Amino acid sequence: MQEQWVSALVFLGLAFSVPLSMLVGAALVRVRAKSNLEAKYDTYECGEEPDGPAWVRFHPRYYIVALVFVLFDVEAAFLFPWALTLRELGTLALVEMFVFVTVLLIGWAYALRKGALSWQ
Amino acid sequence: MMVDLLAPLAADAILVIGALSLLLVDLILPPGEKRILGYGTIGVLLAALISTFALDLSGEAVGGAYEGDALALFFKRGFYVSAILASLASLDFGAKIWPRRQGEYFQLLLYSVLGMSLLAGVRDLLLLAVAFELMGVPLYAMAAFSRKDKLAVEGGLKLYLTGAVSSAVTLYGMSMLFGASGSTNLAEIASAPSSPMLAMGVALTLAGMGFKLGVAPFHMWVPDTYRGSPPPFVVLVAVAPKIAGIAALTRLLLAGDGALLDSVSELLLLLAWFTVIVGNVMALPQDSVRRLLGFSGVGHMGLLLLGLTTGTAEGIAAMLFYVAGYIFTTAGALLVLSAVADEDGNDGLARFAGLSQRSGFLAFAMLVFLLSLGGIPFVVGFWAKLYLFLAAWGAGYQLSVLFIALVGVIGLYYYLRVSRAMYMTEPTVEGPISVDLGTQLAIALCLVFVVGMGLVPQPFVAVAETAASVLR
Amino acid sequence: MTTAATLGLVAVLGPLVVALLLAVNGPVRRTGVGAGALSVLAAIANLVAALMLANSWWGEHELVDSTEWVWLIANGETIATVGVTIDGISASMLAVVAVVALCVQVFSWSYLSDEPKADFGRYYMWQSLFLFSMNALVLAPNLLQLFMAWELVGVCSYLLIGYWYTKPSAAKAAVKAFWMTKLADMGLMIGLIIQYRVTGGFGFHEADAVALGASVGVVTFCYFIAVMGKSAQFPLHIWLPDAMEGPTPVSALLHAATMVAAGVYLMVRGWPLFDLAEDTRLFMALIGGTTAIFAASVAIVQTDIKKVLAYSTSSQLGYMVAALGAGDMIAGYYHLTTHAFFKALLFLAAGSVIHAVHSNELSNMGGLAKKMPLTAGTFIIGTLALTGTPGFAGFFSKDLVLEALLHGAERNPVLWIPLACCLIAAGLTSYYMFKVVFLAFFGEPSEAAGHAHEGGIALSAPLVLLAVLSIGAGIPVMGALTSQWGHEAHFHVSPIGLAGTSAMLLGLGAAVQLHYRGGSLPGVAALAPVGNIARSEAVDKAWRVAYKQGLRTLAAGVSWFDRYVIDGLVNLSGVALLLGAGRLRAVQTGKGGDYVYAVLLGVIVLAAWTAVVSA
Repeated sequence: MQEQWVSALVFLGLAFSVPLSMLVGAALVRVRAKSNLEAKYDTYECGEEPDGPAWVRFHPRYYIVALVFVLFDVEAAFLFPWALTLRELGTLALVEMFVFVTVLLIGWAYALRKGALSWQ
Repeated sequence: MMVDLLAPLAADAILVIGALSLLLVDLILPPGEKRILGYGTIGVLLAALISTFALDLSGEAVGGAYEGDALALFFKRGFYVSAILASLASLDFGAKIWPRRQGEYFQLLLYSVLGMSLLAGVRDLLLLAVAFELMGVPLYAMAAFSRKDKLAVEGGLKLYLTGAVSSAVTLYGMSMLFGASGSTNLAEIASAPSSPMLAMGVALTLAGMGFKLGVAPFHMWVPDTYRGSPPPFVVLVAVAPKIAGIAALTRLLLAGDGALLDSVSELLLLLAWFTVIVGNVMALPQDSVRRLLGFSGVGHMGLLLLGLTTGTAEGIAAMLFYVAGYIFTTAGALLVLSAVADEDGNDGLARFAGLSQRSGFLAFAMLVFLLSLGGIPFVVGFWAKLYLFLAAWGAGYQLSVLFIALVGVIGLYYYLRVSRAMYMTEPTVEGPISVDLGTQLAIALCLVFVVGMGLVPQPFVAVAETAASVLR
Repeated sequence: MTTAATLGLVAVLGPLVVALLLAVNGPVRRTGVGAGALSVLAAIANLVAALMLANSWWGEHELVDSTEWVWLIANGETIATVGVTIDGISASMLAVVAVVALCVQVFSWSYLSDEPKADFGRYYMWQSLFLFSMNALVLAPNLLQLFMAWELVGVCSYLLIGYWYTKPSAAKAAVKAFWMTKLADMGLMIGLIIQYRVTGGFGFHEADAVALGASVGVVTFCYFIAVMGKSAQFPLHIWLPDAMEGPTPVSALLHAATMVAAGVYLMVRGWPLFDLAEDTRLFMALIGGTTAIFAASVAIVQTDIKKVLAYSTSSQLGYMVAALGAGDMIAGYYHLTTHAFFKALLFLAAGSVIHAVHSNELSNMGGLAKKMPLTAGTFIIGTLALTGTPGFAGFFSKDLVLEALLHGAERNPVLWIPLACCLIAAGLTSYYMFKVVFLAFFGEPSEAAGHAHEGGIALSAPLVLLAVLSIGAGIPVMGALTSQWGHEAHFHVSPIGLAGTSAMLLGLGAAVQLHYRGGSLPGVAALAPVGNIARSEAVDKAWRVAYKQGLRTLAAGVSWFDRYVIDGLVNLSGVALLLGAGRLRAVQTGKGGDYVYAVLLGVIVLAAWTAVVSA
């Protein structure tokens, strides 16, 4: 009994120490900017010169498109392993995948009809 | 072959096919005729309900992750019935408040019900997790469906925030269950040697499900969501997800030989006591009747937990009978409330003042529901309480019965406050109340069952016993 | 089915049919008179059935008949049956209820004739519902049915007290009455659960008592808790005076003759159980004695005629409980029957007075004997019966109660306490009742009393009938009751009877001196503080404080706990665990974050509990 608790404790300690060590490590090795440099308050853009502030309004369509994209992306990710093992799985898997794709198709039709993919 | 595998899930299949067809119909319907979707939804739910009686839904499905036994059927019927009641109430409300988005509302409802429906016979952790989320996520959106209503958005947000946290907790607990037992099959998890990790996993899963049940201290979303959300949605959320939570807990804790229940029975009892106190005491200072009913619903969950804790066939049967009574009583009371509350959702006791003079039917129905909630004879609440207490006493939980029975009397006080307002004060708002046909029908249905189960409890008890007999 | 069972079903179902008819048929109910006529018809049918049953029981004392149907089977065992049981107890009680109910319903017709038609119909609907519940209670073949009917009469009482819903005090009183009795009813429920778990049934016969074995004490004690609530025993009596906010006929039927007596009836019905429970009976005797003297002393300082009668009812119920506690079932039950008649009479006569002067206050009455001779006469008959004047019904039953206590005291000296209480209470009863008589019917008439006049036949006929019963129900009823159970209780002059009568004469003398001749009595001034202490407000206040300080504080405490302790703990643990919890909190809007924390705290508590238990 006791040993299992020890392992749980170690696990807990690890869970805390990983993010903590990241924060502390970053604090230790970070570059200290000179005081009040203008660039210190610039938006971080992977070394590019930032163009305008970060707090701009994004069009919500980005988010809807992104959602729909993720949906079909996951579908594609699911299709590859299925295609590889289709021979072993047999006809049942074929039918199942068609059901799955049909359901997604209906969702796609819905998104299309509701204008989620039109940019106007 | 495929058909054989899915036969126990025929009712769920009806829901899926119905929901998807309605989605397509929604796409071609002109905006003015969306009302049909509500009727369609009720039709789909009715078809699913009928299939639970007409078809043979027994047997395993999805590789043993689901089993259609009598218990699953019992819960499924409960979900479908409460969804039908909520849909009936949504018909006119939806057409009035969100005429163009009725389709989406009913879609979400059907998916949520599908999740519950799968939970009813769940035998596997994976299906449990998926079905639980399928049930929960649509509810978040539905709670905030009146986008312009600040209270609704607030209620929805709170439901979402606490829901997300408790889902995370549940999943974490489930991962521990898997880690401790090496299996996702509930029966195998139950037969795994007991270990701290297993106990912790059960406790965390319990905590996450306690959220859906509205068990204290996970109850905090209940009053706010009740108060803010669209009234017909409250009819749904006050009943169906709570019962689904009970279904999931029953499936999880009583899987196999019920070893998991034994490991957390003290914890369950602790939650039951705390829940009963919070539910009954906190209801006292409420003015909003919906918040009041919300807290009262919390209190009733404590009784259900007591029934579950017993783990005996008798105790589970009593709990199931209580669930059946709870569906009609709570849904009925909230249906009356949705009819009485004004456009802004105000439902203070003042709205109920002199209700007997404004609508005799509503006042009488509410009185019957309140009496049932208070456990007065000749309505279902009495048998439910008596049966549950008898079973729990017999199972050796004497102290809990004493405590819960006494705390329950506090609850009677606020039921009396509402009925006093209805029957013994002059109305503050003049004029009769017009209630749409769907709500009327739903209230009448609830009334018939609340009184019917009070007068003829035998068939329902028999069904509950059959359902409970599949465990252990 | 036998004739007796059929008659019993008629008595139970007749009023139910009328109540349901009026409930679903709004137009008939709103005619008012139609509803009243239906209800009275049912009451008449009920009386006929009850009298036929009582008559056949009178002839052949062996009559025992029970018809039951299975209602609920669970776990392969029968939980509930429903039906009617006819035997000496239920048949006689049924007759008492039927007589009083009919009198009250006829009386109400005239008493409430000024009410709006719809309200009049509603009143009779509830009267019918009450009659059904009461009959179902009286004829119950088991304690579960009795309990269900018991709860239903509570609901009817709630609805009827709140009849004048425009009066906020009436609505408050209705809630209070229901809630208090319901709280006590939990005792009955718990008792039933224990009994079922031990014996597998809810019976009240010797066999069930034997089957209970050692549990009989705890079960009967639980039952007695419910009796204390229903029959207004100290300290659960405080709802009864408030219940006087209801119409006077309701007070006569529910809160004097039948519903409050249901508590005593429960003990009579379950006598085989109580008979074996020595300790419970001792407790009963003490509570009964306390109630008798306490309620009587409070009645002295009341100025509202109905409140005097209410406290008097509580006090008389104390007599019955004390007699049962002393182990004499016949004495308690006999006093119940006679009390039902004369207390209903007193209430109805008081109602007639209130109807005439439009006030409950004794100061608004006076000199009514000349204006309303019939009411005055019947009220005085009721008073004589209540105070135990020799020859009247109350005399015999009170005598039997005192004798029962004396017999008990010879076996157990503790019973001297209730005996003394009851003796003193007899004097107090006589004092406050004659005080009411003198203040209301003699002396100078007040302004309101000047225009008073006698009501119609519907008001008078019930008074006369009940007056006759208050005089005549003494010997015959006792004979019937005693021969039924082979009890040796023939009336004879005894020292204790003389003591009771002397106490009554003392009270009468004090009333004459103080309120008829307007004189004063030495020592009465010294008694005033006692009366003040015993005033209802003291107990009432204690309950109010208990409610406000207790329940409200609990509610505040739980909500405080919710808001601050859970939140605070989470914040603390948040600070400790996450370091940046304060900044995180600033991001959270409103209380949504708190809820999440509460969930997390719950999880932590659960996890900690599990860790402690399983480690």
